[in-house]
Amino acid sequence: MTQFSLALSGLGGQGIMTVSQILAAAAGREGVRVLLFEGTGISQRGGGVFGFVRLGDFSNPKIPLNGAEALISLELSEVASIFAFLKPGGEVWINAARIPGYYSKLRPELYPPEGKILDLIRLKTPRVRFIPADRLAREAGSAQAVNMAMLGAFIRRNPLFSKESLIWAIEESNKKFAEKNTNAFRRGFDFVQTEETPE
Amino acid sequence: MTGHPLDSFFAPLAVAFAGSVKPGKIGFELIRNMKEGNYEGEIYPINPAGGDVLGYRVYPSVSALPGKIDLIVISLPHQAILDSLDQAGARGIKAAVVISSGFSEVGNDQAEKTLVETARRWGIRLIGPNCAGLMNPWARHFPSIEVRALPGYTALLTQSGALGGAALALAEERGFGFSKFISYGNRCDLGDIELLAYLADDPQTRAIVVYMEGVDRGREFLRAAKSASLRKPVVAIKAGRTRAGTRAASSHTGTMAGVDEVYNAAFRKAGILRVEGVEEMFDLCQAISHCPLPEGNKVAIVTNSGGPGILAADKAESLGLNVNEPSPSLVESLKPRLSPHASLKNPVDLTVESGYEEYAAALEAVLSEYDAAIVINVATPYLDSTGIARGVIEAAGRRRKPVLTSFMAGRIVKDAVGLLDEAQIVNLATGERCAFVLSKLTERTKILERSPFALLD
Repeated sequence: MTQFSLALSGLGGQGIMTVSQILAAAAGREGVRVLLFEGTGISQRGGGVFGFVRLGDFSNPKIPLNGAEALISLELSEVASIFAFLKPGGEVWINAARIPGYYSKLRPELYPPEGKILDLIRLKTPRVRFIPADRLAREAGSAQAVNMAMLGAFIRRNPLFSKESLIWAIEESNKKFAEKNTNAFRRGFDFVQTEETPE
Repeated sequence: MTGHPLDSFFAPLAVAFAGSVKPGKIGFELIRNMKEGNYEGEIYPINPAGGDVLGYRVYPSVSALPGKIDLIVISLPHQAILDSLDQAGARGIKAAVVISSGFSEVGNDQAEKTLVETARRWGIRLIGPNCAGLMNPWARHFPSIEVRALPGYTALLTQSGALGGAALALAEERGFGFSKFISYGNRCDLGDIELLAYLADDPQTRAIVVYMEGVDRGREFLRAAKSASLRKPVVAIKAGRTRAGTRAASSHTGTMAGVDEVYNAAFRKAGILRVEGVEEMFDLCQAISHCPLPEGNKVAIVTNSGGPGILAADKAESLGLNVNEPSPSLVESLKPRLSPHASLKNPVDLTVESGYEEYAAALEAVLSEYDAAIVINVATPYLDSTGIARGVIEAAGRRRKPVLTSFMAGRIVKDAVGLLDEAQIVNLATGERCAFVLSKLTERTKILERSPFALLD
């Protein structure tokens, strides 16, 4: 496999780290080198969280500026926190939901409108895709599984690992919620299947 | 070819030249530049006189040309331009460069308007008029009256053809190459905005330099610059800083040169790196092409001589770089490896007797703590500066951090500088110039790191 760098962001508790660990487990299963990096800050109080997943022959877990092939953001405005890492022309996957985090609860007027976020992304790439991951997760039986729905959607277009390896990794990561999580993953996966490439 | 609509300008397979074919005239010079540059596509001179020029058959009119033509370069007198554009349009040519002058720059707005209307009618995109042409050295494509550029990684986009030409001539002296050169003159159709967007996605271009006297569509320009500067460094040389400069600029390409401070603010917002002149631009672009970006602003200066080190430190600090002293643990690790007379501050002064080992050890150690280093070597004829260069190359190669050197000076360091060049380590005449370049690279890091919402208004 060639190299792939993925940056993820969201709010504390949304499961950024879980997604990273699932990708790492799938990488392990398929014999791909993987490095993880996480930034959690005040995540327990709803602050921003970001994570890097680097697949392939890397020695530094930190993605350089303009170095990520793709971004996944579990919350609309949180994409801003990892935007600097996006490679020009790369893919951006966003959960279309607005979830007020720590800062936007303090200063709600600062929360940027969706149009502005889109404007911003388009300075760097036309390839942006909004996924209604909140809805997909609810339909799968778990409002918590937004991260799994996003992962499924992303993997449909970026088959870094087989679906089987990912489902195995999801099941291994949490036995108790395995069914709901894999359901949400499949919903995300199938959602993209029926649509166009993010372009 | 990537299939971009502007590729016809930069990588055409056949080019027509409508203009004079007499030696010394612009039309002839364009063809000569193409021929001497070893262009591999087809060249079609056009002139009613017919005959041959430089071994190419001259065709009497655009309509008489054989085969498919991608680009037409026009250096005809006024009255003949429209007719030749019409013929080009009828032949399906979609790209034209108009070198000829005498349009809006001298108040002849009507002629320029007619020119644009004619081109639009045929769906032809125009560069010019009143320009010096363009170049793509990687494709050996030189439809320009200026000195042929060497292939490189910097694109030069210039409003003033002559300044562009002077920059190319200076670049040649320095062995500095370009990915693209475009003199866009009066920008009646394609100008800085469209070309910035093109260069932002051009794979051979690592840095874009814009020489400008004024902006006409400010908002669009800033958006194009923002978008481009997220992809690669955009460096601007803005002329007309002073009142004298402004006056001259307005009668040069006919644009209003605005208040300098407004430009500074706009450039900051757009993520543009501003330089004062051509020399600074070369220094910076050479570093952009070959150096990694620093992660922070801590710079170590390693030198074998006090004076030049202090000058570099002064300059670095005045430009906002952090020239703090090394930590106690770094000092401890340096001590046993350097001369007992060495000064373990910043600059780290290795003293004059230091060679390969001291330089390699000191540079390796400081790079573990600092974000970047300036290495100065004032050569003495009895010490081997090539050994020092090797030490620097080895230590710099172990980390992805910017290392700039200033090996002084002239003949006695020629071989050492040759080695540094080969290793793609930028060597500049003084430590101060290294400090300037580092300050701009640090600014570049900040541009990429800044809050993305700072990009929007």
